[in-house]
Amino acid sequence: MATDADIITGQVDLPRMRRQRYSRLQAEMGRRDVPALLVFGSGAVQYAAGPSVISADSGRAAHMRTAALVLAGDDQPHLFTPYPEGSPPELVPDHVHPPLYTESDQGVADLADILSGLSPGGLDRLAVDDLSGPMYRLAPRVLEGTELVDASRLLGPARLIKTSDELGCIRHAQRINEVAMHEVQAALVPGIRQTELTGMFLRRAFELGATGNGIDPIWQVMAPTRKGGPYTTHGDVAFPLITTDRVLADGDVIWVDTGVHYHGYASDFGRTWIVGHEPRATARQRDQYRRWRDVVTATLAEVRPGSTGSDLTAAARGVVGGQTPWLPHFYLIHGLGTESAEAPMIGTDMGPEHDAALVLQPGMVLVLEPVIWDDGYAGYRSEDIVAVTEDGWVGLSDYPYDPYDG
Amino acid sequence: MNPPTTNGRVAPAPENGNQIDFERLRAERHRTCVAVMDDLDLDALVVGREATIQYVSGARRFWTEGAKPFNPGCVMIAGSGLVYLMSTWADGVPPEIGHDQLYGMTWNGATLAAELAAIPGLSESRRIGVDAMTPGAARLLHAVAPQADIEDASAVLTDRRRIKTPDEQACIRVAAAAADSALAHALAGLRPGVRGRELTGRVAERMAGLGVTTPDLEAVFSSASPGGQAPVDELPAGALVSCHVGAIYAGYEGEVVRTWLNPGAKGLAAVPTPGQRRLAGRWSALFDRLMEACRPGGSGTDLLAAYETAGEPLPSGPVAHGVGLGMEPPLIGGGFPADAGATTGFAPGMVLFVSGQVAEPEVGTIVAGETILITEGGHELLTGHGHGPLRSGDG
Repeated sequence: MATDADIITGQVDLPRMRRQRYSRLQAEMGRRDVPALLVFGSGAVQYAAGPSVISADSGRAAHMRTAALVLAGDDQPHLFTPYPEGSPPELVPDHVHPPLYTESDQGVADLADILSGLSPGGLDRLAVDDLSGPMYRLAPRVLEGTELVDASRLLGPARLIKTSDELGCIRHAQRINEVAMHEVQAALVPGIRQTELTGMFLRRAFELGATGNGIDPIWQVMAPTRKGGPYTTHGDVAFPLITTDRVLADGDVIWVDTGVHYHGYASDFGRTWIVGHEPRATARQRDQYRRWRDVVTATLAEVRPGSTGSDLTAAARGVVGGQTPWLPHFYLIHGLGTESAEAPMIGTDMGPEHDAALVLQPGMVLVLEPVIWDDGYAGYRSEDIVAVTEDGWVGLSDYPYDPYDG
Repeated sequence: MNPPTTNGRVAPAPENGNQIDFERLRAERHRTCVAVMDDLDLDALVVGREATIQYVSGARRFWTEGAKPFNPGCVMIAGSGLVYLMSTWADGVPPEIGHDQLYGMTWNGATLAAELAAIPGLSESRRIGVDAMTPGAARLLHAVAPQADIEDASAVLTDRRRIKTPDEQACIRVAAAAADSALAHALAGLRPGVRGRELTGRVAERMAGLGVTTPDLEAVFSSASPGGQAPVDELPAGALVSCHVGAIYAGYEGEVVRTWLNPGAKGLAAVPTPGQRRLAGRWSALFDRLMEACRPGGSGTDLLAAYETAGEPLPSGPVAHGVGLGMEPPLIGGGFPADAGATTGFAPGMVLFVSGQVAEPEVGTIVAGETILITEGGHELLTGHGHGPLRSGDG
């Protein structure tokens, strides 16, 4: 297990990280009797093979595909990539392949040939995370006799527990995010545009060594009332709304959410800010923050191995009079890794049974994102990240709560 | 509260802009979707790829990086012509999609199945077209619409989307201008010892300043001098640097590639070596041939042939690709299967990214490419950043 010091310093050994992740994946494949796993999703490929890739829009990523194939019992993953120079150095040459093109019939036939070449005995089952149109249409013919199953059943459990190097990557990504944000927050004055904040943030984050940006940064101006915001299907607050060239005004309450990557690992920065030259929170706003802090404190008091998701949701609700202090379309807590939101998810609409079945273990990463809302006065939302340790938790995020905690 | 403004900016926020008629753009795309459904005799279209969801719904959506598995995020019903969108809020959703046509995001498969089953016309469908699939989503759709055959509509969607309407072209022009401008801003920071991440940061900064916060790809700056691709850091004055910049505006892509000569320490332009000049001449000759093929009736096969005629080996990556809602077919290059689009005939209104690449072991690689529009008379360059000291005919 990681020591606190490893995590805080963000020391990472990338080859060890890839080796340990791969072992976890192999163990899940063995446990579930799946002989092969083929993944195309960027986060899944990152987890299975760990290549350096150029992060891209989904359209480019769908055509310039990086894919990973894991065969049960094999020492290393097969990597299919348009960027062979980004292959992990320890990957043996016969496991590095040209990219797959799965948007055409011939490309799918080629894929089937590759699969049968690598597993001459045939595959009774193949776990996949996505099927292109031609893959879906042709699979019954070119993969006859192979049952296709969802890769998420393997990836979810494998990714649930992070190694010390994974925690180091998350910590480092988060630190880059936070350092960049100090500069952005100082620029949060009336007259600046949301898009300008994006420009400042991304430039600084890349200069600081971010290896990619995961989401279009959010600087959402909160309407004071639910009705003042956009229509929502659940009648609650809409978040996150997309960034535009909107000009920010004195006193605007903005909910900030950004996520830059480091070696494939996401960070997750969430804070509530007030626009102004010397912004000050009102007494009510400070009280919103205090209640948010109470929810976080009460929740963290339950974070230790053996606690269930239900223990955490009960603790969070307990300090706000039984209300549910998070957004109904999201969660009280989500995990973080090669996806910006992954398991464990606690407080979702999957229901109390799902939360009760989730038992905390060392190495889980928890992003706490409670929301306190006072209709008529907007609300407070921030995100704090911790990793579960042998006897409690250690913080992975470290950014002030200005101007609310002054 | 200040109203959003677009004064003098390259890229108005799509919902605020009046330079592009987004209402017309969406109406034309909707007609195309109707035609796709007619072609395949579909009762419903269920799509999950981000670009297809944008195409069918016209919604401006939260951008996240990378490839994501299929999720049934948008449904169109043939009988009513109505579009249903998975979105918990109406922000970014065009007015023709009413509140009762939204279904909220959910983590719960049973809830999703119930939401889909509540879409009028979906559960009775006999033929449903999809753009991609997962094993779990296939089970879900079969449960929601037990009588339905689920058909792959991806190729027809691609074919029908190939010719860009004038409004789509206008979006691509904005993205192309943003890419050119961001490249210029990055090159202004190029100097010996500069870190590649700094240049990538400058690209993001300029693009966002222009109102474009979504990249086509993270801008790449790498050494194109002998020794293969390497980080740009520590490169001496006069080294070749390849630069790849792409922007996404209102979903549409613009892309530009250049190879630049690292300037001297004080920002003085470096002077190309004779070898570099020779290589630039070869690039220019190759690109002229590529551009000759970019006309109605030309095809990807002609682009590949242009390399052969010019005596240049094909690069491992794409020589050209379609441009639309991000990267699109046709995909043209030595590494792609023959049916990825090389035989697709070029026609007016198609937009392509075309790149030329030449290499010499002792000198390095020059790669440069443009986003182009096929016109009645040939083509028009939509990107146009200069080539600096490596311009053809220099010396």
